[in-house]
Amino acid sequence: MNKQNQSMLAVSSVVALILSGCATTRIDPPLVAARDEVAKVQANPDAERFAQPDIDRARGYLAAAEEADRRSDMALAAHESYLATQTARLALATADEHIAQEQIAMADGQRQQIQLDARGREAADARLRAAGAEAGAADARSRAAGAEARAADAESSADAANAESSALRSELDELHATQTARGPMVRFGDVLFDTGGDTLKPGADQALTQLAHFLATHPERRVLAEGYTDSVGTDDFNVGLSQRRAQALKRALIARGVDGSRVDVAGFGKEYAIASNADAGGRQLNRRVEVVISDSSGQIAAR
Amino acid sequence: MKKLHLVVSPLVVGASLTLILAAGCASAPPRSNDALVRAHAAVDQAERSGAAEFAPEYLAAAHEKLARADDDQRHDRDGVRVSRLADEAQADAQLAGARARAKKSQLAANQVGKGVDALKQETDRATP
Repeated sequence: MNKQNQSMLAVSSVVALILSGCATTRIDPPLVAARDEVAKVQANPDAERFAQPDIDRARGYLAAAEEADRRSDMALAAHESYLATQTARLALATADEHIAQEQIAMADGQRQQIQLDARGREAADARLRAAGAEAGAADARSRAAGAEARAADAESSADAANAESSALRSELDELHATQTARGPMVRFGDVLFDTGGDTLKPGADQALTQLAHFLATHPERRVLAEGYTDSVGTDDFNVGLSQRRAQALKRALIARGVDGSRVDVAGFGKEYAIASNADAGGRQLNRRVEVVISDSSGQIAAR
Repeated sequence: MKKLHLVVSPLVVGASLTLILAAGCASAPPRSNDALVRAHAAVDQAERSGAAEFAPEYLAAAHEKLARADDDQRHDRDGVRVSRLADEAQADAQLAGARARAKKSQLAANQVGKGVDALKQETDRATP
């Protein structure tokens, strides 16, 4: 714009101001202001993006203002310039509004993402905790399974023990064994020995064979043969007799295939009487050999 | 009640009529000019957009020009001048409305942004 044009514009602006009765209160020549504003909004990519129709209208007003200015219609030029200026500003304001709306939408998206992430983390935490709990549960289950297995083992061994003990009981029953505090005991009475002697009569054969068979089927068990007498006679004699009778029983067992090392012998003489020595019947009961059967580990409680 | 009603109602009717007439003179000028109609509509919309609060200077300019245009129109002055004043008032009102909406949106964006920041801090705190 040359100087002449500028001064002309200034003059015309003043004239326009007067004519229009202050259609604009600007001191700047309205057309100059309009050009500035339209140029500014055209250089603004946001305005171009969001308010192209407003920009187009502003350019239309500016063109009309330039045209009026050329025709020296200062009132119209000022009017169109004013419209161009306000419309250019409108385009900027519209762009501002859209930008703010975009920011809101973006922030909203961020907020949602943050919440989603937070929920995701919470879910992950929960999954972690759940996994931990599951592992704990698995541990507990495996422990429970172990306990159950042990219980089953115990039960089955108990069953086995029960079965064994019931089998053992029936075997001992066959032996006519008596349950004592020291273990099962089989008594060989005086009638199975020669009077005053240590030879077993044939009447003891069945009992001896059963005992030998029992020891053959229970190799973990041992026996202790203990001889006793009545109170008649000297103690030395009685102890000797009781020992010899116990030995006779051991020999009889060995003769039936029992390893001698599994048979201990002891003679107690007139001790540990089980009946009164005052009468013949009681004394007969006291003359005896008792075979005590060990427990499954071969132990027999001593007298 | 009835008696009171009968006494009051002529007064009320008279006052109402007076008000309507007075109001009609003040704010309901004849709008034969299309530009004036559009300008009034634009000013109304700007006010609905909150221009009185967020763009008072442009809304005031619109009101001022619209009042002059209405005045000119009422006194049957230069129709071209009425139209131009009305068009400028419309442009002012549109700008006022757009500025108000832009400012409100910017305020809202700031609020939402602050909310997001607060949320970020909270969730950052919540998760080690």
